[in-house]
Amino acid sequence: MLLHAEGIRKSYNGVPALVDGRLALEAGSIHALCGGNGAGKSTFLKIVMGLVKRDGGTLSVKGEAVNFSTPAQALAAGISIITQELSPIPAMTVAENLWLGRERMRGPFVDRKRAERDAQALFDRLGFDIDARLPMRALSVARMQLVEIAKAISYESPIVIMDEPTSAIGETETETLFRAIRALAARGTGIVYVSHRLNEIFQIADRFTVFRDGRFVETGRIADIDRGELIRHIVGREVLRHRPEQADSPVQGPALLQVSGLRQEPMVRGIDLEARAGEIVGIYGLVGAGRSEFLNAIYGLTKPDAGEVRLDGRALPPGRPREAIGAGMSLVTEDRKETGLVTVRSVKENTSLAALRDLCKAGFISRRKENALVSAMMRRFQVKAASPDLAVASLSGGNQQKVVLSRCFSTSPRVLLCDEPTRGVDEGAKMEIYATLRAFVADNNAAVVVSSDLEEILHISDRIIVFNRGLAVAEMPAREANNENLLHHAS
Amino acid sequence: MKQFLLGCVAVMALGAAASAADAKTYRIGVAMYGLKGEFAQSWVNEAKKHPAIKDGTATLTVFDGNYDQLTQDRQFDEMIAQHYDAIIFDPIDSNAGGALVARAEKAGIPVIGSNGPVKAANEAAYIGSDDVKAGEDEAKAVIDKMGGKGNVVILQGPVGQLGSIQRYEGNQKALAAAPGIHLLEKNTANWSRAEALNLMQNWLTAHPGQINGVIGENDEMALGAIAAMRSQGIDPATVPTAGIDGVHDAMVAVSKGYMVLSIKQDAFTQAQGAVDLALRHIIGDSYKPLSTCWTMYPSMKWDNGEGKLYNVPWTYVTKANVQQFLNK
Amino acid sequence: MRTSSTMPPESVASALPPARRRPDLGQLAREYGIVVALIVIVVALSFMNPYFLTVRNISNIFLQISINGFLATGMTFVMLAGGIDLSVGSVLAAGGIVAAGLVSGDHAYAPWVGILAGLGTGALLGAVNGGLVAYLRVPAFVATLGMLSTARGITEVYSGGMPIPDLADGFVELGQGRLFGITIPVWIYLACIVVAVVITRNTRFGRYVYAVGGNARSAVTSGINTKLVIFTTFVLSGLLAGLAGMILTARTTSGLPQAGIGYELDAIAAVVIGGTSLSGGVGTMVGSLLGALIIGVINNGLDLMGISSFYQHIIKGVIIVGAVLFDANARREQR
Repeated sequence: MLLHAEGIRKSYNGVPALVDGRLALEAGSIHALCGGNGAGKSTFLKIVMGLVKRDGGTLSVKGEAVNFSTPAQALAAGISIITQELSPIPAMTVAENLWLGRERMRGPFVDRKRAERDAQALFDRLGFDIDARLPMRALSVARMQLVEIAKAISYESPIVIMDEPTSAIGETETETLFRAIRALAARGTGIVYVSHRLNEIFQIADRFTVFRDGRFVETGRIADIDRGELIRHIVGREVLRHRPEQADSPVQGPALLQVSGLRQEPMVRGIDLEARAGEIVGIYGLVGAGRSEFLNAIYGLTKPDAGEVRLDGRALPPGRPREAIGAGMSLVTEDRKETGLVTVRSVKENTSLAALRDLCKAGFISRRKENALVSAMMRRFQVKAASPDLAVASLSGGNQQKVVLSRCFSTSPRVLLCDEPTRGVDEGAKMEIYATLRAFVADNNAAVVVSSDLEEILHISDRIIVFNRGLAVAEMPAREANNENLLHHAS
Repeated sequence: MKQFLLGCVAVMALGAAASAADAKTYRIGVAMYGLKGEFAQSWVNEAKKHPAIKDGTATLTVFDGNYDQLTQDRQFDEMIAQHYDAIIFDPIDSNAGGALVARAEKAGIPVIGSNGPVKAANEAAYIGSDDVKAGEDEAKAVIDKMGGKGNVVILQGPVGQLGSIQRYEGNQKALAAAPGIHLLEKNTANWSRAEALNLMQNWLTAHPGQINGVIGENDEMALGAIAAMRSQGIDPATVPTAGIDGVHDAMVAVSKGYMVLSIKQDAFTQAQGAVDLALRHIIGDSYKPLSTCWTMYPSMKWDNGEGKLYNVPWTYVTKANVQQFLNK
Repeated sequence: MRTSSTMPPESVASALPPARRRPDLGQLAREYGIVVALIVIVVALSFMNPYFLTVRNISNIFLQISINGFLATGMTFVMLAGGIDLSVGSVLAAGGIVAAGLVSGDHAYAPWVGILAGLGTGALLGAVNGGLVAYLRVPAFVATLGMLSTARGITEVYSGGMPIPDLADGFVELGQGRLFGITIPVWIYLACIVVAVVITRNTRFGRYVYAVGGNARSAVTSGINTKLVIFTTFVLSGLLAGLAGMILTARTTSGLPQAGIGYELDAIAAVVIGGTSLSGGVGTMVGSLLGALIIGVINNGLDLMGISSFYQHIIKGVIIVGAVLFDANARREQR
């Protein structure tokens, strides 16, 4: 037994993230760790790699109890990790990146020749077609990911953990990677493979473990299970979260938003979409399916390679957010701190920012109009802040998100694009946000909601579109959708 | 925050103690163009050794203009606000300086110019050496040594600075009188030996074997040029070079024959003479000069302190007389 | 009688009267901190030197800070939007020398021609900075470092390295004249501050400057033309540097090619002492005015006491770092 974990527990600020984490990894095995959002996989991995301290449970490597407090300790004990986030130094060569901190030396000097030779030998063995002498920045994201994988392998650790290693790479690279993984396993390395993509799991893994809601659910051999059964383990109970106001039959209102042939390589590969007045369209897909990129291109944050966006019949100029706002579109971005809010400024300034144009006379802001708008919005969204002059940074996540929505609604949009509208928001605020969206479309408007939360998609949408690798692969009325068929199409 | 404010207060208290002035002592302010150069430092040192300062008859407060016109402007305002009894003035710019002198005169404060002249101004008196003449004489020395024929280069002081402008004016006078001399290059090396070294190296590369003489508007730059020649295997003795100021290294270079001339500026006389003149204008004709500087030069007499212009002669240091300065 | 307990639960914000402007606490603390520092310094200096609190000296201080004040005002716009302008000292010299060249000598143009040309020169050089930073994506530090050298060179070429004296009387009046007993540069500076305060607080452009500096990506999402905003802040900085250059020229009665060397540092210091964040988005014009005042008062006070300029440099440096440390602490407490 290479790695054995049992009863691993972890709470953040009293909120349990992991209640009972278990895993048994054997030498030469490729072990898939499965689970939906909030299943506790990430917390479990962080504990194993020494990033987070566990509250309880036992962890042992090769039969010896371990207790890591830094990633370096985990590495020394024989665990190396490939994370989703890349950390290359772009100006250095591939070889330099690979041996960073383990430089090949000759006396007091770095031996560049040997570093390149060793790196090239490693790539050849893994079957990666990469030139070790190139600067890192000359590589595609997929190749960078392969270098990162090679780096983890180069530690020759008996245990390798791969967290969504294929999220950024294409199909050909995936094939290459799988060959390398199999070769690695054949030499006795134990691999923990984490992926949302079920196809991959059935292709590469020999064992599986499922977590759900922070708990271990099931483990076994892949050969003994089929896809449907695995999905049922991941999803658990079939929660019927459909709500009465969801349309029984397709919404018949006029098409407010029409997107045709939108393309932005490599993430969006030709997508059509229509949203009708009175309708909430949900978009579901895995990480890397191109959902955010699709919304950003519609709104004009990025300029698409091809395709057309019409709002109420009028074509929008590509790449012009201001025109989109003027035509009646609003975007709730995925990451409110990065792209949504100016956190150092006040609630008031953030709320009125997009609407200032209408609050001004000759460039001067009308205090009266602005205050009226801001207090109306704060009341409508129940923003809990002691004063509208408080910096947004001092609010809770839920209230920050309400400020984002306030800003989006302040321009009186007809079409609202929401990218993960309730990420990091507590349950109560979530419900308020759902109610607001519902009330919004009831007013003959339309909304498009992107979410990786299955329950949210099922709950909020009238119609659901599933994205997979930059394409819309399935479309169904929300009443016909369930966890299983959505996950099936998405992975 | 508190601590650092306390710190400030402490520093200021020290300053206050130092400036707590006896009501009967005369207060003389000195507005210097800047205190970073060797000459300015020795000027200040000599002024502080003046007998009237040492015995407490008068205090001397030195303001560093930091080579910035606005700073000097501010310092004049401050001296006027504090009713200084007299101001000794070494300007950054001779045109802009005129406005400052007028401001002080209007407030009834006599201004004694020293070292650098002010244009179109009503200074009570001026004591200094003629930079135009020094520029002319050093150029002449180089030209004479060259036999009135060949190519010269000029190393200039900072762009727009008074001393630099005047010395260059003198250089041009001498060049105009020597038709056989061709001015090959001129550029600023900012009074700096290191900058002059680089500049001269580039010139030597651009004009191999063609530079026959070097006019340095100060000694430091002349010494930089000599270093450049030596680094390229050229014997400095074969390329006549001159400078102004009379710094120690230049004396050594003169004694070795690397420089034909260094013109020595007399900080002692310019500084102590200015203090005497300031006291004379404060106290009136009952004041008798205390400094020994008035016995230095036959051509410069005290004249009962009524003169407008006191021209401090330059001292010309050549191989013939260099030993007496080196022994000092 | 109904009691408040029968009122429906409402969010706190909606219960507040909406019109009343309540200043952000952290901002208040920071500005308050500067005011306290200024008062302490002023009180200390007035005890130490009898001349410090005289009318004449106070008016001197305002006159003295006006040049740095103009630069700091422009710098505040740039830094609020997340940039920096290292070229202000050189642009000041260029604006001053161009104006001086036009209003000096026998063929002098009317003073207003010189004034317009000086302002135009500043704005143009600022526009080059802005174009490089906003549209060609050159980092502000690099673009304006280049301009620091280029504008100085332009000044030297234009003047041949020589001061330009004999300026028209009407032009000199700009720096020397008085109105109701206060010198004209001080009036212009006060007017400039008022306009800058109104722009930052009451106009759409001002709001956009804060938003772009606070989070440029959010600003884009809100439909703001961030490039135009950044460009404009640099134009404003250049314009104000040109204005400062002309006033300096008029004040010193001649155009000086070496004017303004190192002035960018005092301007940045004033802005930073005034509480503007180096990363943009936070800060006020009044803060920068106070920052310029603190620097001016310290320069003046230390001069009055006859403290060597060598020590003055040390004290100034300590105060700048101290102010920023204080600022960082105030922010940490806020969290």
